[in-house]
Amino acid sequence: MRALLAAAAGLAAALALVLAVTATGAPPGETSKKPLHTTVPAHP
Amino acid sequence: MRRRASLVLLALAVFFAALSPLVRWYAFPRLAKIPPSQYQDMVLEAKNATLLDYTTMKSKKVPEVSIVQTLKGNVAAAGKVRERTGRDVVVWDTLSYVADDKGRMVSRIPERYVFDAHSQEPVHAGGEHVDGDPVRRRGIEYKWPFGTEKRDYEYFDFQTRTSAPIHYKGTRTVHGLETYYFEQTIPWTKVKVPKKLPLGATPETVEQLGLERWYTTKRMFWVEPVTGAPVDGQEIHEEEMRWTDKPGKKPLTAFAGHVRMRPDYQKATVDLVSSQRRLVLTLTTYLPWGSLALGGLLLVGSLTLEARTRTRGRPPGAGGPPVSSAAPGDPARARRPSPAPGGSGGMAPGAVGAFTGAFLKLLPGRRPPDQLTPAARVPSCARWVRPLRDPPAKGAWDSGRATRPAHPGSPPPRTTRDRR
Repeated sequence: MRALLAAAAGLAAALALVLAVTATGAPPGETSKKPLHTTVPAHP
Repeated sequence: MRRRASLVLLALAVFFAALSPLVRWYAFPRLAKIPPSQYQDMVLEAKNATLLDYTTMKSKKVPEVSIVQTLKGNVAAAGKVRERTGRDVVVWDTLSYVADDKGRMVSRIPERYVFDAHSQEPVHAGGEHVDGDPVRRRGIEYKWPFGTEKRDYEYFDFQTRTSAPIHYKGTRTVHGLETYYFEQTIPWTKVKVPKKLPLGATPETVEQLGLERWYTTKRMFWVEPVTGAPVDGQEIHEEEMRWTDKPGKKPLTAFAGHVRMRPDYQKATVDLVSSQRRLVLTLTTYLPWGSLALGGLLLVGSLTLEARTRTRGRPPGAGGPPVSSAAPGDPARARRPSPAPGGSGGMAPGAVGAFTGAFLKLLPGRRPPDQLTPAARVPSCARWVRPLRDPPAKGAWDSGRATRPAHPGSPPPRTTRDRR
């Protein structure tokens, strides 16, 4: 029984971690202020 | 203490083992995405190209033609599409700007490309266009999906506004990166004249001259398969202005050249893709396989600890299943159920117990329950408990006369002195 509880705790922790990380995600950021090029850039 | 440690190790083993598929199949599709705010530029060039001079309406050789492609993620537009469709999308506003060797504009074609941030599948949420003309894309453009496969894909050609297969042709190495090589040939096709041309020319003025634009290209991409990002691209590109009413008249070459990535941009692309590749591999390979291996190691550690705990708890010479560390005469012990036949003792029933039983077979000097002698198979606690259920006459223990009741397969009777 204790082994089952330990396994369940491990599984729950893994699920919680992955769900938390994916739910947080990455911030969308902002549209770049840089223009669409109409000249040939000198370098990348 | 050891038993508690083995349970902690078991919990950690399950944690890491569960993390493996969760990261690969749940987290990866949700985390590996093109950011909606992506901004990227690329310069391609064609050396010794042929270009139409709109002042003389004659084709001429020029030392260099540059094609500047800029991709700019429109975060606000992506947010609106997400609200409507519930999908994480990227909206790219792009510009393909062609300049001659003196930097003068040859043509400029803007596009809006809306696609799924993970799969690169086009999303038809309105606003898609090429040079102001609404389009409905099929297939991919600019970038392949994460985990590119060795197969043909549909690739959108913005000149013809149609999609056609781009064929997988094998693997190639580009700057130390293994890439998949794709090739697409667009046969001579009549295409629209760009809305912005030199000297203020427009599609209408070109039409008034009795000309129409035809185009063919052989498109080549070297795609890094983990990220799906092209690390090299080339086109053998030809454009002609053909006379609509004079089929016999020689067409004007509007552009002809072999277009390649400029070396400095190619190097920057390879560097960017190499770093992104490591991030993607972390989610698809390093973390899943690493956590699975760690989970396996922790499970072995947990089982070893458990086995040692039970070995230490056994009375000397007994070959039966393990006993707990409680004293033989402990009444609490008498109330405990006997261990499961799998030999898991207090560790775990079911699958874990079966695994423990199998593992115990590997331990030296430890025989699994099914290989024990009939005497040893008798639950050890029963051997200890039975005398307590039928207590001997008063004083018998001390005199050494008391013997345990007969039990099928039980070892020779032992006196209380034996136990001491």
